[in-house]
Amino acid sequence: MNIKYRISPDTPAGPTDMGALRELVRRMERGDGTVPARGLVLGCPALDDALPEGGLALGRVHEVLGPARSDVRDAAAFGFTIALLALLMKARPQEGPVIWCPRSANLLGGTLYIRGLVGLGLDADRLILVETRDEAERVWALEEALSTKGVLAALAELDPVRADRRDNKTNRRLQLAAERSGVTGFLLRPRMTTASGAAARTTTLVESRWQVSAAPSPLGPHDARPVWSVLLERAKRARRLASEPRRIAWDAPHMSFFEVFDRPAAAAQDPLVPETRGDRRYGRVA
Amino acid sequence: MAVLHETAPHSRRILSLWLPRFATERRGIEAQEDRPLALTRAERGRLVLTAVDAKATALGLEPGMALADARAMEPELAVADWSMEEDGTLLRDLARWCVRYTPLVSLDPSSSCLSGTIGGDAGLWLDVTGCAHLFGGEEAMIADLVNRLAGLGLTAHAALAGTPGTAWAISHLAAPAKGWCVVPDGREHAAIRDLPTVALRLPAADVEALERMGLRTAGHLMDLPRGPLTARFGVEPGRRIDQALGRIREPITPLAPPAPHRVRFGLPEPIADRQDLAHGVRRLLARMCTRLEQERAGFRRLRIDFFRADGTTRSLSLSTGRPVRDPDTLFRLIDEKLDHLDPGFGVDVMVLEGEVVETTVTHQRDLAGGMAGATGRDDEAVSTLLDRLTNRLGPTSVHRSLPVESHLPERAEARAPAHRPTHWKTARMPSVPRPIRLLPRPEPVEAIALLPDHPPAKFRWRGVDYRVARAAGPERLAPEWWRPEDSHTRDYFRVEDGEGRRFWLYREGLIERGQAASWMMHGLMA
Repeated sequence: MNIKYRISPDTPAGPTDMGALRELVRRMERGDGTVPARGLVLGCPALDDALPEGGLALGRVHEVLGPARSDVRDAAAFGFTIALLALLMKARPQEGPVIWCPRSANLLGGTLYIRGLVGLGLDADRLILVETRDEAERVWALEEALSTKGVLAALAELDPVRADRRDNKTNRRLQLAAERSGVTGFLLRPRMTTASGAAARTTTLVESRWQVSAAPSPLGPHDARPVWSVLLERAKRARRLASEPRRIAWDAPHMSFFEVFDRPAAAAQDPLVPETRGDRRYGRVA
Repeated sequence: MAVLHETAPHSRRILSLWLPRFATERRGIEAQEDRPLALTRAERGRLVLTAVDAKATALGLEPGMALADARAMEPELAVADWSMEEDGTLLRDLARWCVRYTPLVSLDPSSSCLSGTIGGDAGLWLDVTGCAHLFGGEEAMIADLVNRLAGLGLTAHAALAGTPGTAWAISHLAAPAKGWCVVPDGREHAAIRDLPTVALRLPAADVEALERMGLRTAGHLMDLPRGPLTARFGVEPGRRIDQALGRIREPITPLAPPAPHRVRFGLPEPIADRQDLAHGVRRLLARMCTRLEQERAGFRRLRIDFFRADGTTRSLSLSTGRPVRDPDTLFRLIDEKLDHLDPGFGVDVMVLEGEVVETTVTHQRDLAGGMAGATGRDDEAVSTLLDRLTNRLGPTSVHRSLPVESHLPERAEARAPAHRPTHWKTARMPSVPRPIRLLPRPEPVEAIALLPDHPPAKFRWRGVDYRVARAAGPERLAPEWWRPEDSHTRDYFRVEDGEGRRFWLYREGLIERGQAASWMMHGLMA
């Protein structure tokens, strides 16, 4: 067998070509049926610029790491993920439901409150909750949802990543299922902590991994738009990753993320002024 | 023995039931109007009355009139479209109800809704041979039937005779005022001989021709020699006479009871291997789904019974959110459950039974061959997914959240089945943000706050101190006065601690001077 590979002289060689070739090889490796990733523009350059598709890759699995498991007080990772889902549902109004597999046993941190989710812009009519008994069932349900064309996105609240390689296998399976069907997957995990309590870096195979935690809001005391500290820890083919977390706010009425910065200290207000003093309307619907 | 053979062994007893105003009276049950009612259909470019109720008849209206003429006579006339299909369905339901008297109930094909003739009447035959003693005799049974129908608002004429022909003739033409009549066995000839020739169920053209020859009653025809009658009018009049008098047998075609959705698979040898069982299930499903395909129906719930060689039974059941008749989909759902099935020493017989079967709505295909609405197939895939999740995780595990109009946050949503659409878009939403996680029950918090309306400056929750850096509120939620157990007003605050964690807590009740306020943590904000 004497096959010679040639690159024709008029093909300019360069980084773009290499990128395209890699993409091609990647697709060949996976066989047919792979849906090429499309990006969901997040509307915030701080996030979009780092992502290769110019936004969150759809039809892939993303991991959002919240606070450590012991810290149930911090709902930031939930908030950020809900905002991502809300954005996705708005971008694809005609497509199917979002399947959410919550961790039912974790009642210390409360349960999902749909009115709050709607307040963040989520279309609750397309949200289906799946109660499971344990992590294995959650992974199973997630994989089923990820392999079903017609589901818009699927999310599971999972345990912290274990040290062994089992999670890698699982994640790879989930990723393949998502690529075949075009369903976007989200894994919501607590951050893994080392014995000393510091955040440990994890190495699971996902399209992108985000670390999200609570952040003091520099907005006014009556500005209800939530602010989180968001770090894009890794992303496949990332353009450039920030080393420091950014403070990202979610503007639910306009459905977009934006980056916030500290205000000059002088402008800070007394935080203890009531918002609607003397507002004693009764009978408001909760 | 003599008692048993009191009537001739071959004699039948047939009950003919005639509902002369079926089409209008079945509507009258709902309408409750005082106006006369007429049903119409379009005929040669005009609307013609097909059925009229008693009030309209009293005003001189009759089926066959043009609607315009009828309106001219009675401007107050209420008019509705005549629906043969609806009448037919209801008549079949009525026939099934009549099974309380006898299992053999047949529809009269001359009923308006079956033949398409005007009049709006309907008829049934009940073969009550050997049934009457259960109701205390023939008179009692027929009275019971007519009275029950009268209770439903249906005028009924009924006759009981030895042949369907005679019973039909009496019920249609000679019912006494009380509504029923019993012709003793062998008295058919006397009963119908004075009735007009219509009583012999002859075609209208024949009746007219007989009339012209002066043959007005059934008796005239019966007295004629058979040869010339047949030569002139064909075999029909003779046949009808013989049927009415019981000289030739006229069968009635009983309505078939709906066959149960049940298939059985018997095995020569017991099987215990999982693969064999799966194969058996596949065969059952294939057979049943072919039938469902013809019926345009699908399973909502099915059960498979495995009869084991040791005499015990194991069952699997399965529910789906929408009717399913695809054998592969059903098999996938069952396959998971087969793992938990204990076949013991083997399974002899498998029986599949559809416990709930519903008709399916087939998706209309658009011109390009795709599903109308573009996502029909995806919807089906999602539905299948929900069924799989439900079957593995339990019936209540897959759900949606439903908005509930309640002032109290913990009561403001409820669970709904995943297949049921919800309406969050039209739900009234609070103008102030809500937490994304709500604690199952509010937890007490020690807080320091300025009175009367200030948010806490510091608080202690679950043994940890928090300093409030940012706060908004209060939002007052009034208690639901009709529930005595929570009678406290709540003033909710959204607070943020130094690290940016956001909480939703409230002060319970109105503050009295010299009394410590009680604070509760209720949720986590985004």
